[in-house]
Amino acid sequence: MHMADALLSPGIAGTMYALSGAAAWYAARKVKQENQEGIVPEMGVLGAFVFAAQMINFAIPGTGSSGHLCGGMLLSAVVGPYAGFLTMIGILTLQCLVFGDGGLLALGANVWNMAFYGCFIGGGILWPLLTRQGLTQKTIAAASVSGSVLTLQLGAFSVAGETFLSGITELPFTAFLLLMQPIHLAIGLGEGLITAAVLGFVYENRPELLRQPVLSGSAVRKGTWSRKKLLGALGGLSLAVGGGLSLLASENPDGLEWSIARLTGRTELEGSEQGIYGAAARIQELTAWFSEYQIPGLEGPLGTALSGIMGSLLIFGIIWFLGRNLRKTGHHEVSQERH
Amino acid sequence: MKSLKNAIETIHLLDDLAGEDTVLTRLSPLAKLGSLFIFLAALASLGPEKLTNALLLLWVLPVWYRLGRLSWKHPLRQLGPVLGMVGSIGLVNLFWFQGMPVSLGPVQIPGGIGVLLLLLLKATGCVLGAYLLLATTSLEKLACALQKLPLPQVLVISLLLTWRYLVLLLQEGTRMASAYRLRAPESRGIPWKISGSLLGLLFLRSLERAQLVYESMKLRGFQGRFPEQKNAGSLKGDLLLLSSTLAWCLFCRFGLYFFHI
Repeated sequence: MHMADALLSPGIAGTMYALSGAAAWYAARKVKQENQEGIVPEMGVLGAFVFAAQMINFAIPGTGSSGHLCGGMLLSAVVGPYAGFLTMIGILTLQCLVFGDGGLLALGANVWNMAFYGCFIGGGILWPLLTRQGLTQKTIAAASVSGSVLTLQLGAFSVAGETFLSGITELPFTAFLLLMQPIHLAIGLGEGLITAAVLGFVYENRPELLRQPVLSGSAVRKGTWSRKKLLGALGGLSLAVGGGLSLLASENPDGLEWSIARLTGRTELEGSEQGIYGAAARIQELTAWFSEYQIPGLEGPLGTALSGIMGSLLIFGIIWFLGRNLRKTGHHEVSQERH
Repeated sequence: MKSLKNAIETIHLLDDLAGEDTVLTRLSPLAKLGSLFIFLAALASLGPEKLTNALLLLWVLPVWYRLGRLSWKHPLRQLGPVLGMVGSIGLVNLFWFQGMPVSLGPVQIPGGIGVLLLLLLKATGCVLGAYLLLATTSLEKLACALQKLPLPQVLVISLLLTWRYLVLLLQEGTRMASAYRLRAPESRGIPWKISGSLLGLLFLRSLERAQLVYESMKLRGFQGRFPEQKNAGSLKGDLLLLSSTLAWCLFCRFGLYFFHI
């Protein structure tokens, strides 16, 4: 997935350098804050290990192809996402300078596509999430495979996006995605299996080397957000997006509407007024309070913003109500079992 | 396994080349890095209508290779896979490109072929340029020069340590892969099932080595920064390289317009 310089315009390459640079600066700051500077030699040697290990290809059963280790997941599982990310930058820099794998101008994009997703999404979010009940061979395998698949899919999507935005290929974006995503799904599965096998071996022999998850019920770690604070931030973000950014939404038809318009000349299809279609349409007329993202009697930008905010609040209310009732049902079942 | 051996050979070759005394090896690593970035940015910014400009811009490479007394053989071998990948994307443009024909000097060629040629030229320039940097600058010197830039120290040090241990681990990987092949000569490739024990062992050995390395570094007075190396390069030479690269790139990017080429 290493991108060559020829596939990027200077503007996109510069943007990706800025994004990856900001992530590297943040990661370096976190390593310093967490007093992890003693692991620098470990990072260096592990970087060399991942480099060497990625050159050993393994036969993937049933596919006739071969794959190698997913470096970002492995490094994050051992030294954490921040140190892992910095190590991956070193690996990608050497691959670019020594072996011509990926261009120097495209290094920012390659760091983003391969290190950022692998370390921060795979190692930073999926690994602690899927191993939160404790490290076992099963949770390690689940985290490794799902992490590798997801991060490779995100990486492949970014490659397609960056190439398309650079104006390099005349291939339509969707066609490019259709070429990129399925092949990387197979590669991700293979890489995930190999990563799971290596981490499983380490777990069997030296379990203390793997990053332990924060077990549920344990005290909130210093520096992490409390649930209330997190909910507040997410709520604020939802309202800002629903009420503010919705005003900037494109008025052009979406992908499906565009496709329908190409075929029929109209963005929407006329349904039958009889039978189940008609009944469903009548129910929708009754329930669609904010049709076309507008509030009746308050059309225009204000109506769009208010409908976005009210929609966000409504969804929050429904989920809160469902969650509360599900929790009550769960408690009830547990107490009945105890009796 | 062949790729492991090739990697070791490449690293030794680059180390040897960077150790030679040539005009380019005597210059400061930052001047070379800056010149390379100017060249790459100028090349990447050219659109299909500037095919002639791209061809002209690449003429800086033979000059640099001559100054560095470098052979073309090895970098051209590295170029093959990159041309394959970029070429396949360029080939797609042959069918989809609907723009105007482009001019290559006095000749008009179809736009799709122009885009394909431009991508191949860009890929060639970028790979040969990046190779030149490490063939004329040792990574130790480059890392020490990078310490002067506002980059996270931890990043620069881990890069340097990765480089130092790379050959060692590549050799260890080669030994393990050879051992497997000797034990299972009829096996086609290394099966996935043994990847855990094979790489896991290499991983555990690497970690033990890392701990020993850190202890020895501490004992020898390491305090999170490598000592700066004395730069043999002259400021005049550095400025000459930077200014001539900038002038050539600006001429190729904008100057041809005045000559109506």
